[in-house]
Amino acid sequence: MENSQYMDMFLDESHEHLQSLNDGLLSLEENGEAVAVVNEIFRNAHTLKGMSATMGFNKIAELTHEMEDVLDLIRKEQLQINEDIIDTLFKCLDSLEQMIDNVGNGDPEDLVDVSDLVKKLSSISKGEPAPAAAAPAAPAAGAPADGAAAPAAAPAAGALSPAALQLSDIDMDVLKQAKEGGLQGIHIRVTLSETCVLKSARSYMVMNALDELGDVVKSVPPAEDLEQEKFDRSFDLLLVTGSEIKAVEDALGSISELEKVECEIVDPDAKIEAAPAAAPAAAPAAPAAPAAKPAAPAAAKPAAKPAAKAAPAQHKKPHQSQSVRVDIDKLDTLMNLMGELVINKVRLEQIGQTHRLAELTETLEQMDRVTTDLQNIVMKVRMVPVSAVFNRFPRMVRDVSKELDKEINLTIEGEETELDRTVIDEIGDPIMHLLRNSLDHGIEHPDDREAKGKPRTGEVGLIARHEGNNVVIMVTDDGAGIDPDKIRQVAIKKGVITEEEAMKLDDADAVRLIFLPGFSTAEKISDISGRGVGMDVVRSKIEALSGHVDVETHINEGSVFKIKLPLTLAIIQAMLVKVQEEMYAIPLGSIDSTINIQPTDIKTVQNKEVIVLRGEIIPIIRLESAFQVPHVKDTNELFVVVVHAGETKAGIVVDNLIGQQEIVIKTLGKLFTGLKMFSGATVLGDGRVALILDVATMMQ
Amino acid sequence: MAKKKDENKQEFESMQVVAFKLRDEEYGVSILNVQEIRNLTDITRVPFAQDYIKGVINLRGSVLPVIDLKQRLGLEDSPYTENTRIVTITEDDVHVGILVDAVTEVLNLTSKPVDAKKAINNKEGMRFLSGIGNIDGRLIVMLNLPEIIGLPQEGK
Repeated sequence: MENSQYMDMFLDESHEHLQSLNDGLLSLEENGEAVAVVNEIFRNAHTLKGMSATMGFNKIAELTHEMEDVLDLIRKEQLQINEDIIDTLFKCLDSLEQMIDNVGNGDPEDLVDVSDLVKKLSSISKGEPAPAAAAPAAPAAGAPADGAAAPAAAPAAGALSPAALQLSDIDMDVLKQAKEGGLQGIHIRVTLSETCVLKSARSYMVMNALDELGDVVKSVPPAEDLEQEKFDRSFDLLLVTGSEIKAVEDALGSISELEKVECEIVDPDAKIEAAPAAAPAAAPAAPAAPAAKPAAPAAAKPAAKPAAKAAPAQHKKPHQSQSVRVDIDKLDTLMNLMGELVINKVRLEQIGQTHRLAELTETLEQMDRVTTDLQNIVMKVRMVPVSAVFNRFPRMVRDVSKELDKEINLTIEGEETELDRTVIDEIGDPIMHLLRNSLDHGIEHPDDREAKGKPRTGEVGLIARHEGNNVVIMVTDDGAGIDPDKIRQVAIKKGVITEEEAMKLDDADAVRLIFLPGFSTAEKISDISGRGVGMDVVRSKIEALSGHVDVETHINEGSVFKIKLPLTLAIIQAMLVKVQEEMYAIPLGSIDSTINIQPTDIKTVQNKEVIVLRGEIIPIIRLESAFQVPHVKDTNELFVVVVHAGETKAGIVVDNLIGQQEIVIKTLGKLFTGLKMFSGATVLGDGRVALILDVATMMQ
Repeated sequence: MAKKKDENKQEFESMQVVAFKLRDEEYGVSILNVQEIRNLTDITRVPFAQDYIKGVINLRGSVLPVIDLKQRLGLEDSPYTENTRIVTITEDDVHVGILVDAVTEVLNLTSKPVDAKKAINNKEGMRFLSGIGNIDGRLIVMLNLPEIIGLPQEGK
């Protein structure tokens, strides 16, 4: 399954959220309702809902959504907490935990029946008296047993049963779209020969061959299981392609160890009828079979291959975590120790050189290699490219845009930008909120867009980049923009500010009101976003990371949400320069070019020194005089590092360029708070400290 | 209950002081504030920083500001010698190094230091001193670390 690499993250995070939900409910039960606690619970539920929806676990999302409704009423004090509500909420948590555990073990989430709980919750939120003793979430135990029984009930074994593909409504939509686009869906059943040893490799080859013809939109069992050889001999694929069956058969014919390849065109219009009829028979354990998850319910699988093992579920290994969570403090310590090691190594090297101890020098060379590797790893352990977070979003955008019936194109840029692990862990939720917001409230419906003279497809961008001493993450859309007057009105109506205050605010500040707690302009509550928790959560999260979030918007042109995070923990590429005897680092991201000039190349315009570079007049800053560097020696050759901040350029004049290097940014500490000229300092390989220029400040 | 004198005595019976030299005078800070004593290493000058901040050094991978104590106290400058040390201290979660001419020893201060205000009639230098300890006629000037570190106040 495509989300497999985020499974660990999802499991870890959802367990954390469940834990805080449990804690919150307990304190609620003990201390009665405290607004802060209810808010906290509500946010946890909200995040859990978002996460599970992103991962495609609709049952979990559904249950949390109902919980959220109840909590929302409590939050607004429209509902009095009583024992019954608390009990029900606790039962929900138990069910959620079970579902998440199931998911973690590779089982479908819907082994747990939550329909009673959902009913009960909705009756609570509707204010009806609780129905008499609704059955608690009893797991539909014995799913594997049902699965084992299924083959008997399953339709004919040999023919390509449509149920084998477990087509969901979404798959159907895909097929229909494909058909409209002149493509067709082909159901392919591949059976490997009995002697086949590397089953996963063969299935990989099959996938590869098919990828050249079209898109494999579905696989049963899921691709993850195929990779791990969690299948018997045959598997089912749905290929959307412009090619004919013949071409498919030819392509697969060249792969050895395939016993049989069966193909059949899948007609989405005909299948609509067939699927619901066939599926319940195939999966008696799953009540909502037509909408069965791509996660491949274990119970439905045997139907696809009746001759297979009786209870494949028993053979499944529990989901094993590939990662170890380490306290970030330990990593800090590790990095500091590393630094000390390097310095001492340099000292030893010096001793070896002064005393000409060849043997020592030789050993140290070996050690040097090890420490360099070690250093790299220690650094890298903390840094994670933002793609770790960004990769979850294309799927979410796709699902959400379908749900909202909008046409949206997501562009991701700068996903290789690295951020500290602590930041990465925290940044996912805020970005998700912002994205959902753009999708839901920003981008208009295609028809409305057309009426406004915009292309039907809305553009949403997710961009990360280094900017000065910050990492900037932007969520952009070309949607409706935010109307400051509307924001003012809502803010007044909600009592966030008074009318008088509202009039004083300029438009930009008025728009920023959306970051205040309890603010939502959406007319209707939707599943995607818009309960007014989003934006203030975003802001508090970002500020907790000592970052900053801002919004820039133009009506009918779109909005840009800009998250700025300090680079204090980041590793960046920098150019080391020398001015007399002092070393400084200039972030490579701000550098345009470097040139070598003669002192006579510097001209003056109105008493300001400039150089002319490719017809452009660029003001220069001499570091030596700007920083009052002690003058030790004269130089007749100068280097200019051309830097930019935004649109403006400047040339920084230095004596020498030392080279490009990866540096770890350290803060200068409290004693230098007023010093904006430097974004920090870094420790160089020889143990000396070099200051890092903040180019944007220098140019002011 | 207890006599005031006894209390004072108790308080200072166990006070250990790291004593160091600035030119010919002896100064001290409580050993509880002292992290370690290091040899002089390369100090990187920080342009635009306050005069008394000599620069920053690398302390096991982190960056530590170094205060030139003679400059801070308004004493005349003198060149580095092989005895010059950087004493790294912690005060209120702030780590700094202070540059001293030599570290002499760890002393046991048994009597309460005299209030510096009474002893010296110099208002400017006053705020950096917390008291003067007397060990058999040997005078140790105790430093008022929060003032010396001079954490930036608002607006600065």
